[in-house]
Amino acid sequence: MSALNWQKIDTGFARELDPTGQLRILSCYQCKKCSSGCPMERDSDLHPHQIIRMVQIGRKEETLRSKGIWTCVSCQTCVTRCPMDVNTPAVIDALRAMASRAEIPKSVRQVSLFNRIFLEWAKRLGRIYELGMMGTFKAGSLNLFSDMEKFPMMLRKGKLRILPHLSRRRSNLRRVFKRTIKKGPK
Amino acid sequence: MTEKMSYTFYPGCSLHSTARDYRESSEAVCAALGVELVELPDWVCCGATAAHATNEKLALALPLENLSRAAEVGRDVVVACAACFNRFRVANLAVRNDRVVRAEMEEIVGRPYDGSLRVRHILEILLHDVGLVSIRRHVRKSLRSLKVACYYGCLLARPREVSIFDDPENPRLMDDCMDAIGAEPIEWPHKTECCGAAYSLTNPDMAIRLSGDILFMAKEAGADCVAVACPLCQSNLDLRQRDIERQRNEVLGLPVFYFTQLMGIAFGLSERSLGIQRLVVNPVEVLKRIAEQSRSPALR
Repeated sequence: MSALNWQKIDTGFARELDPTGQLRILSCYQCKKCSSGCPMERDSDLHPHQIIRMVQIGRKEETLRSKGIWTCVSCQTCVTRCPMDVNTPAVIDALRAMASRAEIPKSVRQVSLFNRIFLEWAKRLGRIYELGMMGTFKAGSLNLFSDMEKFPMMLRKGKLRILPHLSRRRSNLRRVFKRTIKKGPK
Repeated sequence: MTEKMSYTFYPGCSLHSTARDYRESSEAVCAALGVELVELPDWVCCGATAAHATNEKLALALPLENLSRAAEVGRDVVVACAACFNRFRVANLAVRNDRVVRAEMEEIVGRPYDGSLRVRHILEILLHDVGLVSIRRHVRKSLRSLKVACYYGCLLARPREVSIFDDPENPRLMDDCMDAIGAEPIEWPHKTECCGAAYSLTNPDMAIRLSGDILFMAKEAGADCVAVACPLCQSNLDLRQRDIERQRNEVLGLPVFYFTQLMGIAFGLSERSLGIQRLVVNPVEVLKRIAEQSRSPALR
């Protein structure tokens, strides 16, 4: 891979994702240490160093529609090993926040569905109610039977609550949700 | 120990459900060591990966909603779940280092907070505040020659600025703890590999593959059991172990303990108080061995 000619490159997308420059997107020189240690390397269409390069050169549509931004498991290995302190997991989070639902490839759509359901339960009760959350998720993803055989054993071992566990600070929590989702990117 | 150590405890959602045994064993071990954990009243969910993958501000505001309440008491905040711990540290640093972020968060949360509380992990307080000398003094049972693979996972070690370890690539804290209770921590390469926790429900096959790699490496290195400090790691390695064995057509039979459970066993606390009966992979062989060698005259 040859060095980039920055004069010819539009860095608008990188700046849009990271206005202050603190994620250090433009500092990446493609050493690939990130991708060598990435546990999702096998399952992804774009590897971490490729995601960063796509952002550097402004390939916005392709990056937002990639599977790679959804297969990332947020293990933080890439940023910990990066010699240039490029914050790849934060870049990927920003890309996920920017991608609209329509752009998410079918094979990874359950990730954003799960996130949405998780936050919905957190907002409603203040705490996660696994049984309810898993029920909504499995119904929503039409994946009703995976892991079902584990439920009776988990209940027997006291690993699942039958009834939810509420926090009394839910009204303040709803305010937090309202203010952030409105304020934040998108 | 001269005075009682006291902390504000944030259990998080998992410690009230899938990881009840982590809470039970943490409380039991802390009580035995004279550490008081006071649960933060009406704590709320930290938002976990779902929040940071959705909205950056929400991901900071949820931990800060808890931290700003804890600040009214002022004690160090102790977290046991590695995922909650990571989110708390990230949010705490964000408001400590950036005045603009701090002002915005104070407005969202509706309470002032400057990031001055210390966010600690339970492994840290037991090893640093209580210390190895005191831990050793409480040992009543012999874990001699019990080979333990200490598995740290991602979120206690990474990224560097929130890590509780000197070396995020080769942490030693839990190994030191296992050594102090008389067990034998083994050297192995997968201490901080990812178990796939964030996708345990959305992409179980992937979690099964990553967790399988970790368990087989532990077995290969000669482990009798695995010790963990994260509810998500524990459930992937324990609850999914049978799926892993089925898929690879090979038996593992590796019990996956919370490190606090092994401490409690070494201290001679009752199995029930440590939630041992909640483990999925049956640890009976390990427990039998400890009971047998603790009876023999050459204790430890």
